[in-house]
Amino acid sequence: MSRVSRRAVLKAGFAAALFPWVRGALAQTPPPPKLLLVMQTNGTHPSAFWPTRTNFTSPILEAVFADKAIGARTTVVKGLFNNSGGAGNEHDQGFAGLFSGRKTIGTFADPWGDGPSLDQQLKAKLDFTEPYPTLNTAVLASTAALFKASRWSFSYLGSRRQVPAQIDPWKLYATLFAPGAGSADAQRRLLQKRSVLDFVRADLGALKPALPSADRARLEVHESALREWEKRLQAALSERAGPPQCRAPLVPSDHVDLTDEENVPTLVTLMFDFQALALGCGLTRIINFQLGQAGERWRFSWLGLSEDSHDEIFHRDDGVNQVVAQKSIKIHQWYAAQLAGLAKRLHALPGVNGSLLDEMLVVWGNEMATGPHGMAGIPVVLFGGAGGRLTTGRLVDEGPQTYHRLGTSLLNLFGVPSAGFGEQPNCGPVIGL
Amino acid sequence: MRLGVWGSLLVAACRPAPEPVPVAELPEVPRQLRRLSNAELDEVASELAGRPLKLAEGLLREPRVEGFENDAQSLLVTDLKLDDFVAVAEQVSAEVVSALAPCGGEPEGCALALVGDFVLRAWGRPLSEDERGRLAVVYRAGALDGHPEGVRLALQAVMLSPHFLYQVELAGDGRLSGVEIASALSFLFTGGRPDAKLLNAALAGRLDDPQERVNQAQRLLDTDRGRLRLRQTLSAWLELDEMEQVSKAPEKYAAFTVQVRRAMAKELDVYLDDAVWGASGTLAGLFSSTRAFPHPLTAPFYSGDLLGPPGDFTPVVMDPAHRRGVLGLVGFLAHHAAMDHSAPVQRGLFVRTRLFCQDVAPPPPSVLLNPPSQGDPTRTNRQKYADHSLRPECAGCHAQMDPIGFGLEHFDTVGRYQETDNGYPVDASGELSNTDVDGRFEGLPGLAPRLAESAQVRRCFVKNLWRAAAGRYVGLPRSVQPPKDASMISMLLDVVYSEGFVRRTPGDGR
Repeated sequence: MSRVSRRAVLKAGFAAALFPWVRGALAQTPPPPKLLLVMQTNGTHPSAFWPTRTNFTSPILEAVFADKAIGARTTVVKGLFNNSGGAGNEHDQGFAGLFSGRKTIGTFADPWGDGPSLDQQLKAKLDFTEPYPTLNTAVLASTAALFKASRWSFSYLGSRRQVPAQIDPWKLYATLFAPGAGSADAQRRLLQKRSVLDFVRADLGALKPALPSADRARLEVHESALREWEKRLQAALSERAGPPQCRAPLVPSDHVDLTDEENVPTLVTLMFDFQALALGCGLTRIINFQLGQAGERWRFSWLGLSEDSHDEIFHRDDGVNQVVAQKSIKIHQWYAAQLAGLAKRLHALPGVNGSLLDEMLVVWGNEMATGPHGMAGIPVVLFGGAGGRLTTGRLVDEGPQTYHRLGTSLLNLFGVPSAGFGEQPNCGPVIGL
Repeated sequence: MRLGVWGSLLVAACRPAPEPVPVAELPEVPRQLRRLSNAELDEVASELAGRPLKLAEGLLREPRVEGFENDAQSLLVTDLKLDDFVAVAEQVSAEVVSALAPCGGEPEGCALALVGDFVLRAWGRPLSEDERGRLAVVYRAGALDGHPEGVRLALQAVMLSPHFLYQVELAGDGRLSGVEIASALSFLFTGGRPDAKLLNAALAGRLDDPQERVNQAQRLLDTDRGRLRLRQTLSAWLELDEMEQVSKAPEKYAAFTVQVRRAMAKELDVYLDDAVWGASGTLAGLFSSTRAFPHPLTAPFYSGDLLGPPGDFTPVVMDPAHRRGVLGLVGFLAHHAAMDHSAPVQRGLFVRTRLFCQDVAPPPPSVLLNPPSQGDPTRTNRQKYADHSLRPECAGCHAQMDPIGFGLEHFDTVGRYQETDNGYPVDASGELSNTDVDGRFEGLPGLAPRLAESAQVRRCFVKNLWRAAAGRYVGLPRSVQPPKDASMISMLLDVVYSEGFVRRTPGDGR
């Protein structure tokens, strides 16, 4: 078991004082809000999760509300249900459904998402200046053998077209923080790469018309990736703006095994550090992040537990068994502490009229409502104000609402006016949000 | 009728070649571009670099569909994936240029000759005149920094072209071109691009002849690379990939170390090789052979079922009253189990979906799904699952899985044979339903012969082979009926022999 100590190298970069350029550069127009979609698995323990309007905290969310600044920027959405069904079981249905608004297709053993997820819908509709408009990330270290390959990612470009997630934080650093060229050679290098791009594009263009439309759509994904690459090559002509933390952040040096479950806490910390920095430095605008595969079986040894949590804890977490309930709550408190830590990192970064957290949104969702596959009362917590578009510090509790409404609200918050989401084009936004 | 073809192709070399009968039992699939999988990228790039690059670990992990990693519809070139391809193109082009031979003549001519040879291996076909001209433009852009830089840039263009990143099946007249057939054969049998012999056969127009395709396939199969690829295909079908990653509750199964798992993986490989290339070569042999290939590390998990001492993966007979075939190997059993119990539902699901190619309906909404607690010491694992048959909302679907999985209840989560479970006698009676070999059976010695004789399992096997070849979801018409004595190789070669292997529908493309 190799576990690196909590790295301090990145934390230093989050002091707002080190980021004066952000305030300067963004002085006038409010920047488009940034979005971080987080997917947890296996539901929650409802009686310990939900706050009330009068007592806006809960045993599970204690870590969130312990910090007044974070608590004031938190919105809890109660009452969402997903009764759509679909291929696979509730893990698959919620995992691929929550942020796509579509029920899964395929078979029980081979279920897939059936439409674009929110990140990709926004990418298709909005203009981006960031080198990576969207990033799909995950911590997938697990003792459990993979059950269904589709449980590795909840980001979809379209039906069955899954965007793979990057699980390696070191590669993410190397990719996003590659130093800009900024030299006299850069222009010529760009021209050379353009000649490669021209060649590749001509080949793609010649192939496309001959193919069935499904294949043409896949080539459009390819073409889009080439366009993003070209933009990044162009951007590399100039030195990256900002202080040294953004040009060349200190990359954590101690590699850990990306498949060893014992490294989950380390990997989650590294991913959240990276995500805050990538959003704060303007390198990406939308991030998807999943904590484990759908239906994850982590044993949570770092909490002193040792069982297959899916079978022995979450499935048995029926509200009656108190021994199981204690373990379940302990695990959900750990998740809440991780998310509270993320919110703090984002709040420590400056925005225009407040912190980065104020002008963005973290959506902490879950594939299910409860461990025994309950689908009514999916726990959803929002951090941040999306640039003043959202009134925070409150519980939204307007009775049962279909989960599709969350997607509608998010589309509208992020500048894509919409009456509905996914399979429910007219469902409207979350009532009360 | 082509029944006579089944089984005869394996020995085509020693018997008169079968008459090429134009048949199309395999359903045609649409023309497509199939992006190379991580493993295929590794294979092709390594061949181009002239050394094993072992890229797979560092590449973005991608979904497998129905166990196979070459699904055309799911493999995309997204932002981060393009970064992978750019990195590989930069690495390989740099390695090739670092060994660049001095150019004796005019530099651009040298460059284009080299690039032309490179393309044969990278794309599996010759450059067209147009492509040569456009690559010359790329070369000149790079050559501003010198001849090697020009070569490097042109090689990068080759390796970022869709003709490299995809297996292109345009099938202009509804039929794959010679070089398209060559790549289809090569990816299926080697995981890489065609070698020179295969390419020459393609360019000479010989691959339209089904017997020539079979001959080429046999040649490729009879190499280390070919055998490895076939094992990979079988492993994808039988869900045996990544045996090393299978882990168990550490406090209960401390002996199930990574060294043990590696040995189990190797044992599975040796078993599959023997099943395919040994005396029988049939599915019946795969499912009912009593020859295991244990190692001192894996032998303890057979718990007395080996009738001889283990060697270095050399054959040892298993006790036929306990174990038969691939389903009796400790590696298979450990792979198809939960972290700390035998998982009869999962094992039943495997047999139903992977061996019979049948689907199982999902659980109805709002069923409280409680897998039995492993903490309950008063019942056997099987008894813990009794709820499934007692509750009507569960019974319908679980009847498709549990009664099959119960037949393997003698084997615990690491493959050990157990007479008792929690102190109570194991009940390993099982039942197959909705198959062509229905009926009650007793334990694996009862199940294995059913699998061995099932025509449905043979059709399912062919469907999986066709899936591996086509790189997409496929159906299989009932007319495909391989006889019981058909060898696995003959079924594989028959896929290649079929007209369906070379025909493509236009879809809605032009």
